[in-house]
This record gives sequence, structure tokens and C-alpha cells, in this order.
Amino acid sequence: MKAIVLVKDKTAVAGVIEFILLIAMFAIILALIQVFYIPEIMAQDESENMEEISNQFSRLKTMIDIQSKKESEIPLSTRIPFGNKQLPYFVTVPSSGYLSIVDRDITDSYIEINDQYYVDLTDIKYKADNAYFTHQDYIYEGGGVIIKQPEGNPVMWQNPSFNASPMRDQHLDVNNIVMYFDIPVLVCKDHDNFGGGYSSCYITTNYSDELSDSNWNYLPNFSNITIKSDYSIAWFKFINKTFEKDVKQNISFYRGSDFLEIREKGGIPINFYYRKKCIFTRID
Amino acid sequence: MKKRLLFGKTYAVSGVIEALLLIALVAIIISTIQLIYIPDIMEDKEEDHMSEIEKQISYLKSNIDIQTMTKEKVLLSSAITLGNKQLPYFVTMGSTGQVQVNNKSDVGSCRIKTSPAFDSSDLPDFSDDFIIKYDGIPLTSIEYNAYNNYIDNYKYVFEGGAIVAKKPDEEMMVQPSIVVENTTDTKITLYYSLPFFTDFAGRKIESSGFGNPDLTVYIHTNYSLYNSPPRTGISSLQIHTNYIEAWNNSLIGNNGLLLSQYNNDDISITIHDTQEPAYIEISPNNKDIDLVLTVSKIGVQIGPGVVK
Repeated sequence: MKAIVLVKDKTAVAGVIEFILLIAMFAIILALIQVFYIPEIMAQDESENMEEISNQFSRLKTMIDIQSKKESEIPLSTRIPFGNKQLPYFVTVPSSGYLSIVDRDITDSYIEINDQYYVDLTDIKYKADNAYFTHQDYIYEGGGVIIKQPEGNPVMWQNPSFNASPMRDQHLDVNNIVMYFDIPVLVCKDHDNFGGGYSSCYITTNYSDELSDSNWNYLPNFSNITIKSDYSIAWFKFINKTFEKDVKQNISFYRGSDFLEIREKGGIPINFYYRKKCIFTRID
Repeated sequence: MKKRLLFGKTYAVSGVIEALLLIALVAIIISTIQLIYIPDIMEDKEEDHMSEIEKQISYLKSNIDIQTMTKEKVLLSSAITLGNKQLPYFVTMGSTGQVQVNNKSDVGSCRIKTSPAFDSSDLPDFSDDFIIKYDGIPLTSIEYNAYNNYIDNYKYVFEGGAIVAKKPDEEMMVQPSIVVENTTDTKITLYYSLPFFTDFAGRKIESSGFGNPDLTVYIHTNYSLYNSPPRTGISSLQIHTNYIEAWNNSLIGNNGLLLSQYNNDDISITIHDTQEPAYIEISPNNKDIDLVLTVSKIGVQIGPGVVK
């Protein structure tokens, strides 16, 4: 059978074929960029956005610390970016974020001291909805900042104002331990306690002496403190890491999935001081 | 007539055609990039720059809020990146910007007024600044103007303790340092921390040009002093401003500072826009208003030097 000849004049056919092959190669390169390179770029973008959010949470903690220290009612605003943009011309998914304040009216977390004194444990939570980078939650709780990822345990990234020091006698033996805990309690007015999306928002905080303790509450006969929190592992690791050996020898830990109890072992007395600081918080 | 042959032999013609096609392809790609992709990239770049400016202005506000709160004479610096560079190799235009301090003489009739008015004895440290010469407290500001080429021109103004973001079709505001307290069943108290900016001749304005569009300048601020005269039972608090929509949204818009008091008819909030500049007036309705206005003098200098 005779073959059908589509192009009778075969002059310059090689060039046209080469040109078509070049366009095909160009399409393949674009496809490879879309499939392999763009996700890398977007993951990098989202990682940078997470870094920015961690910096802003660190700043938020600093602001609240300053307000608590100075007991000033002047409001301070901290900008929180929510997500990042898509890349033009390529198929990408933008990331977003959600911010919520779990204030004293809605929290079910608390700190209980000597089974008698009760303080609400309140949170500011940022939940990142990333498309390429790992999901991360940032939680401001009890004066500390906790980072939580789907894999692994939550980590206390910025420490709260909870410290313990062994006091020594003239022979350098420990004769008592003092513990200090400054506990910020967040209060929302008019329930301005949720924000989210793709751009940014501001968290405005101001100290109020309305519900704050002006002086330290002193408990000379400390027996135990219970921290009821979804992030009890982060609190445990923080205390275990930062408390001195002489302190840890005189306390014992009991930890469940949502609580951490620190109990004195007996022997060396523990003097416990705590102070509530009321912080009015809103999302603008 | 005999047909004239341009090429005596047709060998290697395919290579020439291929080269022509390739050149045409490259030219088409470059033109497409220049006409479609580059403007999009530049729009993105300018939007990113505006986000950066928003972030920098929010740091400036934080720094000034910290200074007014701590009342410490410690110099703080805030960076502002004025413009945006061009892209190399392609035909693009970089954006430029300008930052300036608007002092008591620059702001015209923009001011905070109260009734009854404050006098020299209320604000003794400011008597030279405004009490006698001006009617009310001048609403001094730090202003950034962006001159963009691919997106709309933006303006950020830090006035009265708030940040106003002005775009051609909207005005938004990061709320001022106002705290409302429902003191009793018949009274509310407004705590308002108002920064009052003073500048230094020759150090109050800085612009970027086409030679250095992405020039970064530092705004140095230093706390100087404050007066905080309490006023019980005011009959009005007026904010005379060029950004009336932003102030209105900030006070009684969604999540507004005084929205619940306004909705409960505790107070009245009225816009008077028949005069220039317009003003927004807060006055008592079912409840009396006490005002604790803390005016803090903040020295501002753009660029290096000693800020007093």
C-alpha cells in the first residue's frame, strides 16, 4: 500500500519539527516548575509567614509583660498577619489564619493552688491553615507562648513568669524555696474575640486594676498547684527545664493529658507568691 | 519569464527558518512578559511594600505607645522604607514615598476640643504650644505618602494615637488609645492617651527619589513630658480631622470603641461635615461623660541626630 504524503515539499520540515519540540520542551519545563518548584516556593513563603507570626506573638507577650509591670491602662496594639498571597500565573493555594481569645468567661482551663485558690487560665490562640507548610498553632497562655504542631508535643517557646529559687542558709544548705507566679487573666469586652482570613488584624491589650491583685498573694504553707491545660506537656517540660535541681528534688510531678500537678514532697517548706493581672483584650 | 531564485540551493534553509522562528518566539515571550507579567509583578511588589509600610507604621505606633506608657526618656527608632526599586533588565518604574511630621502649625484646624475647654492651668507644660494661641489641642501627626505607579497611591497617617490608612476609595483605622469604662449606672469614663508631636527644623521631612527609591529612613521618637487633667461631666469632645470616615468607623463602626454605649443611647455621636475640616462630636445622652485625657509630648526627628 502506498503511504499518504501530507507534505509534498519536504524543504525546512526539520526546522518546524524542532520548533514544535522546543515548544513541547517549554511546556514540560513549566509543568515541572508547577509540580515541583512552586510548592517549594509556597512552603518557603508560609514558613516565613509563620516566622513573622512567632515574632508578633513574642512582641504581644512583651507588650502584656510591660503593661502588667507598669500597671498602665494605656492600650497597646500588636499586628498579627493572617496568611500569605498566591503566586501570580501559577496554580497556588493561599494560606489563612484564625485568631481567637479564650477569655475568663469561656475558658475551662485554670490554675488551682493548695486546692483552694483558683485562677482562670486564659489563651490567645492563632491557628494557621497552611496549604504547603506544616500547620502550626501559637498559643499565648498564662504568660507564656506555646507552639503546637500536628506531629510532636506542644512546646513552651516563650516562658511565662513562673519561677522558683532555693534559699540557702549560712552553710549553703537549702532551707526553703520561694516560688513566684504572675498570671495574666484575659478579659474580652463585647466579645470581640475572633478574627480570621487572609490579611491582618490587631490585638489590642490594656491592663486594668479592676480584677488585678495589686500585691503578691503569699501562701506560706504551699502544698500543691494544679495547672489544668490542654498543653500540660509544654508546662511540664518548661518547669522541668527551668527549675533548679535543688527545687526539683523537693517537688513531685503528676501529669495527665490535660493537667499537671506539682506537689511538695515535704521536708523543705515552699513559700508561694502569686498575682493576677487583668488584661482587657480585643481583636480589631 | 524565468523565476528568480533567491537561494540557488535549498540546503540549510530549515536552519534559517528555525532561527527566525526562535527569534520570533523569544521576542513574543519577552514582549508578553514585559506587557502582561511585569506589570503584575510590579503591582505585587508595590502591594508588598504597602504591607511592609503598614507593619512599620504599626511598630512606630507601638514604640510611641510604649513611650507614653512608661514615661521613660529613652530614644526609640522605627524604620520606614520609603519606596520600591525597579526590576532589572525590564522597563519598570520604581515607586517613591515621603514621610513627614505635621506639627501644630501644619495641621491647620485639625484639633481636639472639649467643652468646657482646657486652659493653661490644666495643661501647664503645653501652655506655649497651644492653649493660648490655638483653640483646642492640635491634632499633630506623622504622615507617610506613597507615590505608586502600578497600584493606587496610599497614605498612612498616625494622628491622635490612631493609624489611618487612606486609599482612594476607603479609609481605615487602627483604633486610638481610648479605653471606655462604665464607671457607674449614670456615668462612663473615657481614658484617652493623646501623643503630641514636636519636630525639629530640617529633620521633619524625608523623601525618596528615583535615584534611591527604596531609601530607608529612621523615625526617632523620644518622650518628653505629659499632663493629664481629669475633666468630670464634659458636655462634648470634638475631634476635628481630615479623616472623619475613619474616626467614625473606629468609634461606632463594626467593633467600634464606643459602639455599645452608642447603641444603648448612653452617649451621642454626631458628625458635623458642613465645615472644613469636618468633626465628630461625642456628647452625653443618658449617661454623663468623664474624660481623662493624657497628653504626652513626643519629640520626633526623621534621620540621625539627638531628639530632645
